[in-house]
Amino acid sequence: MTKPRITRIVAATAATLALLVGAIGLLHTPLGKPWLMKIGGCPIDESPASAEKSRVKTVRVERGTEVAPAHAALGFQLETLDREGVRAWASDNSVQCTEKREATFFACKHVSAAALHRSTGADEVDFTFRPGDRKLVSVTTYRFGLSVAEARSGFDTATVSLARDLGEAHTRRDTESLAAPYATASLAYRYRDLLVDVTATNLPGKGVGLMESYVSAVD
Amino acid sequence: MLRRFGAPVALAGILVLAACSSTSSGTTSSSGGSSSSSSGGSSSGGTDGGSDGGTTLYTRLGGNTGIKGAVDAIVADEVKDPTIAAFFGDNVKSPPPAGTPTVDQIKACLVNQLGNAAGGPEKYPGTPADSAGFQCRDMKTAHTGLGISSDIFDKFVTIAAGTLKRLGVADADIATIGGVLNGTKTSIVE
Ligand code: HEM
Repeated sequence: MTKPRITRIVAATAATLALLVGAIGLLHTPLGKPWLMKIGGCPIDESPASAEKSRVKTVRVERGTEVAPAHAALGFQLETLDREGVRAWASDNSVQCTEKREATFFACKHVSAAALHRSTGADEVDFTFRPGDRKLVSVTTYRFGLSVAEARSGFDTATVSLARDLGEAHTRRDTESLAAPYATASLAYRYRDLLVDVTATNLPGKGVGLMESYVSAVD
Repeated sequence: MLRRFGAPVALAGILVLAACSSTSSGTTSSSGGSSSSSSGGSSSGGTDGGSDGGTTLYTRLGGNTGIKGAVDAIVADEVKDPTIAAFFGDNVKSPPPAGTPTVDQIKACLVNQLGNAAGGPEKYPGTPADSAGFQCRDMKTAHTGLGISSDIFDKFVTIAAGTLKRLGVADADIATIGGVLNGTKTSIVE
């Protein structure tokens, strides 16, 4: 290869690089984001380290003082179970999970009641793992479009199951009926090492949404 | 020709992938959004603050201080959800990319928005005193390009309703706030 040719290749590479860095930078600014999304998008996502930092920051604010008597989240042991354990559960129960963020976040869809040891299944179950030791640090489930009766049953089942595992809820605010728009029932535990929230809320036109969230409050 | 540009093009490919792939892996990639929705505009005003027995929603929520507490609790609960937290990946960086608000600035905007909707003296959009000069935008501008789906929006509202309930806000007041939040849906969801 001749010297001028190498120089031309180096110059072309440098120019392409400079252009691309500029373009990618621009696409990530507020002005560029709509274009970025149009071309398929950089997934709006965060790095595993940043997700973990965000969890730790939040749990430090929300956690209580007592140690939780148990750490099971719908049968999944927080701080004990790892990715292999969740993969095995998914495979045993024919659950489809998408692994993201370097396999520190599993999003599993259409999970059956049996797989969750509950009377109803879930539209979505999300699992997150600590990037360092890969242990399970949160489990979140959502069910949407429920009837008032289904949501009431789901909320009551969670209440009974949590009372059995953890005792009396730290905060429990129920509602006479979940039938009214935005009528909400909420249940929360705030331990030093575990945060639990269960919420049922009537989303007008979309049925009742039911969320269960279990987050390890360990740093 | 192909050979001549082979190196730069390969590099370009690697760069684009590297810029976008550092956060995602696995069986399928996370979803991006599609183009923007139809309605624009802000969510300012819109209710009389839900007057009840002589008190306004604003006073029942504890005025500006009470709303600040509620917004802190709502944001903390929202980011416990791993899908929602991912949307704030840029905002938690220090410093965030140019033109991107910090989480504290978003909270300051939310306080003004809720305060305004609850009948308080706060203005929205505007520049809250504690936003370090950040000018809050209308809902469409603030959320365009984030690719927020209807399901994500519903999760967000479910979590917010749960937080308000836990804090002891009455169902009727949650309904008023829920209505305000839902009123922003067409501007936020893409
Ligand atoms: C439910 C109704 C919602 C309301 C009332 C609301 C309100 C706000 C406000 C007041 C701001 C700050 C304004 C500004 O940046 O100029 C903001 C920013 C933001 N919101 Fe929302 N929001 C809502 C739903 C959502 C949802 C569902 C998500 C995603 C999960 C989301 C993600 C964001 C993000 C990422 C920003 C920062 C944008 C940026 O960095 O430029 N919001 N929102």
